[in-house]
Amino acid sequence: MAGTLFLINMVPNSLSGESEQDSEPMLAVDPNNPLQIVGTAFTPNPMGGTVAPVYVSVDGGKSWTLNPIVPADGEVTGDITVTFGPRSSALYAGILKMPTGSGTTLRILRSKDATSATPMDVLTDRTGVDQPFAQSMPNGKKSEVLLIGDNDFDLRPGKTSNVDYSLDAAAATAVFKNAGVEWRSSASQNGPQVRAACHASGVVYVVYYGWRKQTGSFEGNTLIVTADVVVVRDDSGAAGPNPFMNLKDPKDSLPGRLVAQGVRFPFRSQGKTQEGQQRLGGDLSIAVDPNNSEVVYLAYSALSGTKYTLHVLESTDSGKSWSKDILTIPFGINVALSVNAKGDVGLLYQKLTGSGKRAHWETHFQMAAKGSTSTWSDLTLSNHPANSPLKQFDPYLGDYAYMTSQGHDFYGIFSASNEPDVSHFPNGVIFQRNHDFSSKSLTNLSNSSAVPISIDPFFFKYTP
Amino acid sequence: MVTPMADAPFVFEGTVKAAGTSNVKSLPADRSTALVTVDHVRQAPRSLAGLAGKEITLRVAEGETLKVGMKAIFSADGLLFAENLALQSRGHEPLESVARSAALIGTVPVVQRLRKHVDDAALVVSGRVSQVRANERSAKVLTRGLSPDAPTRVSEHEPFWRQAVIQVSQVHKGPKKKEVTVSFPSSTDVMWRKAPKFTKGQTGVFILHTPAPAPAIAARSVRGITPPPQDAYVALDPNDYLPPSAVPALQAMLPNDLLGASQQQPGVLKVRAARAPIGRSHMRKAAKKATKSYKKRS
Repeated sequence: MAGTLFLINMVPNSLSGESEQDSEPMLAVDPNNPLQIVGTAFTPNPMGGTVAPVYVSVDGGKSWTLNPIVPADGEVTGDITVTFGPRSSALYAGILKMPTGSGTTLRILRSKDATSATPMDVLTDRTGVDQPFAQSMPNGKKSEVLLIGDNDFDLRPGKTSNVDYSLDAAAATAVFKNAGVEWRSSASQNGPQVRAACHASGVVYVVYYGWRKQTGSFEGNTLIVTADVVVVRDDSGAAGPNPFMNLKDPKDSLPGRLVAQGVRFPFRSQGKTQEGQQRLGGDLSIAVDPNNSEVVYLAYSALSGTKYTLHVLESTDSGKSWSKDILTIPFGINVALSVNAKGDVGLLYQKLTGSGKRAHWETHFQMAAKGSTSTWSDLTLSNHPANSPLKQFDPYLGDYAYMTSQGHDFYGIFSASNEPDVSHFPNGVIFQRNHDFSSKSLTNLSNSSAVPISIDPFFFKYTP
Repeated sequence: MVTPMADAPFVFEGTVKAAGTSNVKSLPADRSTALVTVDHVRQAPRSLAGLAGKEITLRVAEGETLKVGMKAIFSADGLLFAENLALQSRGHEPLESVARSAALIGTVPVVQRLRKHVDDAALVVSGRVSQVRANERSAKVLTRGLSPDAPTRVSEHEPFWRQAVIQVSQVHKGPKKKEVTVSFPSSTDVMWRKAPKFTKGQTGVFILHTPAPAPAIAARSVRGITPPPQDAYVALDPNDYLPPSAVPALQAMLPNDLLGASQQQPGVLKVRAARAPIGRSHMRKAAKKATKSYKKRS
């Protein structure tokens, strides 16, 4: 690959002694100041308490601090994703706060200054929601839209794919609405992944798995889901009275293009050793070309026969028709797509290779130049044994990773083993925490004792 | 009441090296920041082990004043974890006056936290787990697979409630009981990663709570995850279970009228209920007892 890669372990030096499972990462880059970046993971507040932390960089990702500002009713969140407002540069977060046992609660948060020690403001709380996924876009010259894709068990039973949104999220009192995006019958519910991609023109794509059939037992870890991959679109920034109804399927004329029908995948309650300790359950990502809202890319995972497989497709007509696979990744998970200002397509994913003791998790960044999606360059960011470190909880690496772009640059985040072995990072890496590449060991703050390896978040920036 | 300083997650003896300065790049120096050398850590999370001898940036509490060269015991929260550590002070106490009762102070945060946890509980018992069972619906799903009447709601955060039946040997707080049932999440999901997972034969102290009331929502609503049965206690916090070795510490902080109940022979079931909430005088007694015990050991 001809470009420049920068890869860094995000755990700061003052936390050299930490050995938590910092999985399920997400990233936000301030579009008005790309030097300001916020990352998230299941990293607990080292001091405990009720405020969870975010990773903050003010130098474009070259160094990171951990800032506990997320009111989560626990030292860690149940889920967290973040985005910066394109007008205000405010940091928004959609989290699940830690439970009291009576249900899940979506909490939408905002901070005017992510570097401040002041806890984020709570904009709204709502019960019954799963896997909030935050995105944002401009709304005119002064306002900004915040969208939180989520799976909502409360609002429309059976039709659970949902978008919570505010058309003026920066307002002193942000008002939130919600829109169901499922119009067909489901197998009592849909999947937790509801992902949005926003274009500055106000065009928004949302992709979700419409579950059509369940067989097996979730608790027994044998559940197989049969689903449709559905894309909906809104052409006016969700501002109309009936949002997300602009893209209909030609077969039934209902909103939501059925991109792939009857796909099957396991939905695990626990990660299995033979599946790299990772909890499988489908993966979705969607990205729109910032230069042309009609060009959109989609990735989803499903079984090909018995093999978990990641598929990447493209559409050049606003989602009306879709290509066959432009890329197929065996055992690919945690996919994230993004298109930079040149129209180059970036793809981040993790894939399981080998089996048994030789099984490895590899993290890849691939890129196709604008208009050349038959040719992909490939960078291996990380490559480590899948059986080490041992899982502390589910999910092992996360139910998602993330990548975005600003200008020509791609910014990504993923979780992987922090074993300081240079062979695990074939394109280089920087550690902030105390480490020794020669002895492949981590040490505590005073370098006086060894620290066990664990899962850490890694940030990368790729400049083509 | 737990005092803010005693409840601080980070307590250390330190020496103020410089005022109005900072060694954390993203925390600019101002009148509220000071550079403090950590001379000795009294209480800290494991991830911050090895901090003794390092310099940290301390942002003073409102009204707190520091002088260069002063030595004190600082109680603080984490402010920023960066190339160095920045802490938010809750306040400090002079080292001299505290040194006289160092052992006492050293025990106070732990005792106070335990006391608060006990105060918040509905029932505190010692006992043994005689049985762990799936709730009715889970049992159905596990033994027969997904049947038509089984739940179709699927969330990766589903707690998969289990019920532990505890044979009670002592009641430390709450109503008399010989047997008590507690719901706990068996899920390995991140949301429940620190909740206690009880196993048959496990003995210790069980600090139990009444389930949170179900939100007032429509009957059709399913709230994302299954709530625990309302007729059993719940244990969600890692501190809801203490090993048998913690019983003396618990006894030390209990009212006198309960201490007799704590002198039972193992295995002999003798139930006694707490009569009153634990008060300040009992806290003092607990601290004294702990101090005495500490001195004997050293």
